[in-house]
Amino acid sequence: MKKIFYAIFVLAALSACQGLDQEPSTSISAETAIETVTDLSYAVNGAYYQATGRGQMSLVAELAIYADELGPDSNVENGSGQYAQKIHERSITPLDSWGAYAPLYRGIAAINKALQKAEALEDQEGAAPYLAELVGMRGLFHFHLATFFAPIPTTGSANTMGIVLSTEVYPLDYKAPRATLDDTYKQIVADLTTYINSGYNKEKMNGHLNYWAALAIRARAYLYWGKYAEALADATKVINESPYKLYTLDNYVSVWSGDEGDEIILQYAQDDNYNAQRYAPGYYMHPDGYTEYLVTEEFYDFMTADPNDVRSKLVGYRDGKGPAGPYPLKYPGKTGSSVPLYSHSVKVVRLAEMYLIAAEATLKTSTAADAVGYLNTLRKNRIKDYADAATTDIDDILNERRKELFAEGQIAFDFWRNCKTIKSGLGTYGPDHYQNVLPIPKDEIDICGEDVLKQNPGY
Amino acid sequence: MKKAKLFISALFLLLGVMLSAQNITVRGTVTDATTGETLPAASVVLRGTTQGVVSDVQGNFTINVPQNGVLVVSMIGYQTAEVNIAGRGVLNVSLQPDSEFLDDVIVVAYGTASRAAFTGSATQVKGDEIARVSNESLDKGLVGKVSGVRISSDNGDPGSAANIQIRGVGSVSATTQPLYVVDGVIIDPAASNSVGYRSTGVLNTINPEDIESMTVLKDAAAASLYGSRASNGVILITTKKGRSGKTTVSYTGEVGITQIANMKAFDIMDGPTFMQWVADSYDGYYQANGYPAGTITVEDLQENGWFYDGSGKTSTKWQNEVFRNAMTTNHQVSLSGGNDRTQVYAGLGFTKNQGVVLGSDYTRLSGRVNVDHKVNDWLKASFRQMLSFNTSNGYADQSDQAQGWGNSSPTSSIFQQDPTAPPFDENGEILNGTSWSGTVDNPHLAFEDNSYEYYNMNTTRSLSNIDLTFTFTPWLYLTNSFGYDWMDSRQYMWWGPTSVDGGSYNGLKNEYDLQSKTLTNSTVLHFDQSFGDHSISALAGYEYSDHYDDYIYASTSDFPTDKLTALSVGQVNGAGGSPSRAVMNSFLGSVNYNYADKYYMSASFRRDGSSRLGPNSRWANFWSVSGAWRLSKEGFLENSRLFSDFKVKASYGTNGNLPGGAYSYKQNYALGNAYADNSAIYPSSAGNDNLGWEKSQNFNVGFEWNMFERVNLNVEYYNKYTSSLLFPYPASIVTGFSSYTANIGNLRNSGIEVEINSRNVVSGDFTWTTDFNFTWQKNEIVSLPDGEDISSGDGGLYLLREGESMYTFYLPVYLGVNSETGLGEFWIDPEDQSKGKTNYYTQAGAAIVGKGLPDFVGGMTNTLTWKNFDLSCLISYQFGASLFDYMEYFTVSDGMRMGSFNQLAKGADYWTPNNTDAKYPKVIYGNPYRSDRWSTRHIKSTDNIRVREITLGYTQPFKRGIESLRLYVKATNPFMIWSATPDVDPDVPINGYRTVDVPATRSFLAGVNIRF
Repeated sequence: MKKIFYAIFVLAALSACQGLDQEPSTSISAETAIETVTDLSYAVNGAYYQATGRGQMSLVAELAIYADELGPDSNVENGSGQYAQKIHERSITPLDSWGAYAPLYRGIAAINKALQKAEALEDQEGAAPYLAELVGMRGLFHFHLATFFAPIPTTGSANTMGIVLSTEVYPLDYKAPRATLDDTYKQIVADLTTYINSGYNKEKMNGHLNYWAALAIRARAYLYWGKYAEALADATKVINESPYKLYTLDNYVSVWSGDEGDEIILQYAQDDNYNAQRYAPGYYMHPDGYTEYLVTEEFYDFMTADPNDVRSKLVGYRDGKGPAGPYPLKYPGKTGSSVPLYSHSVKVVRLAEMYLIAAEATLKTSTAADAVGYLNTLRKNRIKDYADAATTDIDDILNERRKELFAEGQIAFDFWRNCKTIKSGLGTYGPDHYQNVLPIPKDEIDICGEDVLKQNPGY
Repeated sequence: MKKAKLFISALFLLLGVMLSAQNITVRGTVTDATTGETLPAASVVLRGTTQGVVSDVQGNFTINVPQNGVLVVSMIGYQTAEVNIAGRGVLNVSLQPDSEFLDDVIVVAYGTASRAAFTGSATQVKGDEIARVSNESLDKGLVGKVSGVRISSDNGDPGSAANIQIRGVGSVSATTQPLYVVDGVIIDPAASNSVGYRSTGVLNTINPEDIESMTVLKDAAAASLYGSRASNGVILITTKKGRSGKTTVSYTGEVGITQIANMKAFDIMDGPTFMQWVADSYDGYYQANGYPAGTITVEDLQENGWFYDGSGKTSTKWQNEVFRNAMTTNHQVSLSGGNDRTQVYAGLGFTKNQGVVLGSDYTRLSGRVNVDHKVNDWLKASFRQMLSFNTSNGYADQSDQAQGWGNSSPTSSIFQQDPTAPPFDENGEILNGTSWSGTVDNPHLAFEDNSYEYYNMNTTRSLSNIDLTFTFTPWLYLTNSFGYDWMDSRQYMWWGPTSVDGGSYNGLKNEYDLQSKTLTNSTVLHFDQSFGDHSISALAGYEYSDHYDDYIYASTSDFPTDKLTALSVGQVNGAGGSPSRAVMNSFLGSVNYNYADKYYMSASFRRDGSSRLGPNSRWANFWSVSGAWRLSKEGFLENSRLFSDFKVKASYGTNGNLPGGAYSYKQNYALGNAYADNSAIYPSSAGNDNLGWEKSQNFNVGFEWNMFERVNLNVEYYNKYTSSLLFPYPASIVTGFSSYTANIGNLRNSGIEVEINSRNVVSGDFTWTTDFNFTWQKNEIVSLPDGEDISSGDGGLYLLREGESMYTFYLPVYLGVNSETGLGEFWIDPEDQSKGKTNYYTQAGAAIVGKGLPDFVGGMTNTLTWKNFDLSCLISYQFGASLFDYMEYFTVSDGMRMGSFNQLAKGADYWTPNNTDAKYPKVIYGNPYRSDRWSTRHIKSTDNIRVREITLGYTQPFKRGIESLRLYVKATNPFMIWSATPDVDPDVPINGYRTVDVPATRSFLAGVNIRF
């Protein structure tokens, strides 16, 4: 009897068991993830977090200087074979482009899911601005994808494929073909327009697409699409009505070491904990880093030819572990950061670009004399003792873009959309060269099938 | 008065005891029952006491014992004999050698079984055979010893993890490692002591010296009682128990050196060759851009200071600066003793192995106490406690190969140094700035000086078991096994402010504290009864397991000094932590039936419920049936010497495999990340409500044949079909997920295993035994989602295709150098060669070009003894697999790596107008053709026959004081007998990927063992 008693005692000790329903400690069930407006605001952040990626080839990494690496003014010195060098050398293959493609689609899917889940919140106070921003962001991320994975419409490329559009929540077996280039831009503009028409978010918002940023991005999208009158309207609206101010001769040089500035309409916020680390643009353009984005001697001379131009101070010879040479100084190291080369927020749109868009759109829809006014306003804030120019032409505007927007991921696009050939250290590439467009990632084509998802020609 | 009565009766009682225990002197000789030779140093003990003697050099003993007592005669390597004295004054005792033959008892799931009655497939290996090969990790000690088992190490660093595969690769994405059970308690396979800085084997925490035996359970009959976690086989580890009788104290000390087994893999270009290669590569770049050949010469570069010493007189072999002859020391003390009620084993071990790379080492201090105690006639208790402290110091490795070849990797350092630079200046000071790329520090600083970088870890593990056995009747008893496995691992990563990695942080310190706790409790009721010729044993039980993981992470950066590396010296950079928990409930049972030791039938059943799966498919059943027929017991074979034992057996059953993630089935949003400093939530897992177990159906058939009581031949055929594979089913990223875990696809592993154990010569002073094993295996992907190929691995290196093996390489086919143009050539379409050749890698089509899994593997151990000498030699072999040589991609790069990596000396045979018959293409910096990219150039055979271990020993027995003294020397991995690819070490991870990590090592040791 005693034996049985002991045995029962042992068995009883077992009854203090955990059940089979266990919950993770750092994630919550999708059904209950977005239940309040605060949750929704976190979901907006989550979509930015997803879309910006921070990995190799993401928006806050090499893509931030993609158009610079392919532009006429960049140079790789003693590179480490990282992706900035691969972009520069045009050696990106369908095995390399996943990091550019996936985060943006993840971000867009997060947006569509948040929009779907937030249907229940629509009537709650404070939800509408977030819902509007989500729609705008969807346009923005589609636009990013279109610039990297499809030709710019104005190049007149024979490749008229746009990108795969993602506008709702899809089942896991969803496989979609690419939309036409025209439909792609229609979708981009439609989403941005929905946001702009909502009228929300007119205040400055760090790291977020506010009303003005949506207008500015739409201005750029129209410009790429060849709709110059619309581009002009959006650009001038930002110039005239937004709370942003041009940098001045006094502050232009110093603003780059921080993440705040009167001109910044949209930037992707980065900090000491969340950044692209060694793939950050700052690390590529520093002699202690990967040294895969220097500027050419010619560009250095071009920038420094006029010492009255404050922009001449944004290229400079730097010493470090790597090769000495002229480096861009637009991501010079963030003041007060423990990881200064990693943690700069990535600039997406500045007010200066609106002046350049306005000038170019005016030139294309009206007269050079009308166009030059925008340039003069910009230059007055850049060049000491500047005397107004009387006229301009497209090369003058492109050169102004080189001076103003280098290291901000735009130059090659500007050349291509104006059907200009780019001559770099490695060769001469026309505006519809197949490698101006990134290849659709091999994995994605493998999944969807070549007949559904077409690769860009040449790859 | 009462007291006087009591005293008198006590006196009589005592007298009675004395009378009944009248002592006599017994003399005798202990001999080997098969050879008749005398056995010195056998233990002769009176049963139930500690009173005993040891036989002398001639095997003679003399002992004074009660005439009606029982003598227990034991010796290592022999079965213990118990002899009734029955008043005899002379007692000669012959001992049966312990053999792996059919009358052995082996450890099996939830108990033991006689080998004769065992219907499954299992191989048991003794602990000392394990410890002989590896003092570090018991899994590494299994190499070449068990058929159907393949073992590989992640890399050659001390303390790195090993991978074991039993009967092929059983899963595509879930674990392929076996389940480990220590003294009846499942060690949770999810327990991890690493955050991935470097490979660390969690089994290192168990001292191989404490192991009595390891049993490898291969088929369903053997393993199905472990149900949902048994599909990759099970390894049962039994620790040593105390032996009753004379107390034995043993000390083993070893010292030796370890070095890279194959230094040919690091034969770098010397100074002049290197300079010529640089100049030719640079000139190639100019030629590609329209300049004439000869635009750049070595002289130009020398003048421009491209080389540290342009004179060509300096040729530093940097491989000899990074690698060293590393010291190994090992001390083991153990004690074993007890009486018939209590037995104790206690062991203490200290192992310190330097790594072959400067500044790396592994240290383990471990202790174990095992106590078995019989409380009374119905309750037995066993307490086992292990405590182990492990320290591993070194650098990061690159288990994630997609990361390229890191600047802080030791092998990268060899190639990044300028071979024209000396490691030390004229004053013998370490010279910095020796690297060719300018960013990598001199290895003597980077690896030896802690102010630069280090990756250290301290793991502490406690394993506690309590087993209670309640005996209700002679045929019914209940066992309760309680196990608690606690592990804490601290991981330290330091990047000094001046180091190659730490510069941009101005110093970075990351520390993790990982804790893992697993509680397991099983209660099993056993039934064991015979009725005439019929015997039945059965068990039924319940098991509960609760696994809990947690970690705390802290990071600081911005260090004002490189001298102090404590977390608090820097500024706060980050912190984190997250627990997870997985619970399992199980019911299990089995029945074994034996008729007249002739016919055997077994069946087992287990029902598991796991929290890792969704409510829809959380519970599943696993079962097996098996049978055996011992033909040698039938009349027609009963007296056959040829068939001294012969058994045929077959089994069929199911096992399972669980997803690795604790919550894979759930559709979740992730928290805990932020967009800048604003909280962010986002969809993190696609989930799958119906996610279930991976199930394998195992069929096994074979025979065990003992011939002339000398040769044992075991042959088995197995066919393991794994269905509902846990698979990261690919999805278009437009859905937000690139994949989700689903049960899709089928995989088959089949093979033939042969084991031969033969006592070739047993005569007088000389014995020679051979243990041989051979495995033929085939792995086949039977079906995939929609039948479509799936590319996997780094850069799509592997292809999963129906009908092909796992780890099939899918790469362009390289055709060699065009002797006219000097360019490398590829087929545009290897399957349609009419499309022609191309020089451009991007235009080259891929094909199946090899596989990482071998067709044939095996090993052979020969053991010879002559008088007091013993010699054993283990040879292993492998055929039919290829490796992918990732390192050569960098080190014979057709000029691509000019400016970052020096090259292998063999790479100097590149095409020039004067060397048109070259092995490698023309060198061009910024190579537009990229003939250096992954192709069949990097696929190489791993066929090899290798000597794994040689031990030569001398044992001297003594009459008094010391019992025996043994001296030995041993070599592990001493040399290759034959290798298809002599300039690469063929010991690569299971997937055939030759990483850029430190390769296999060899070691030479001398040791002493003293027994008291």
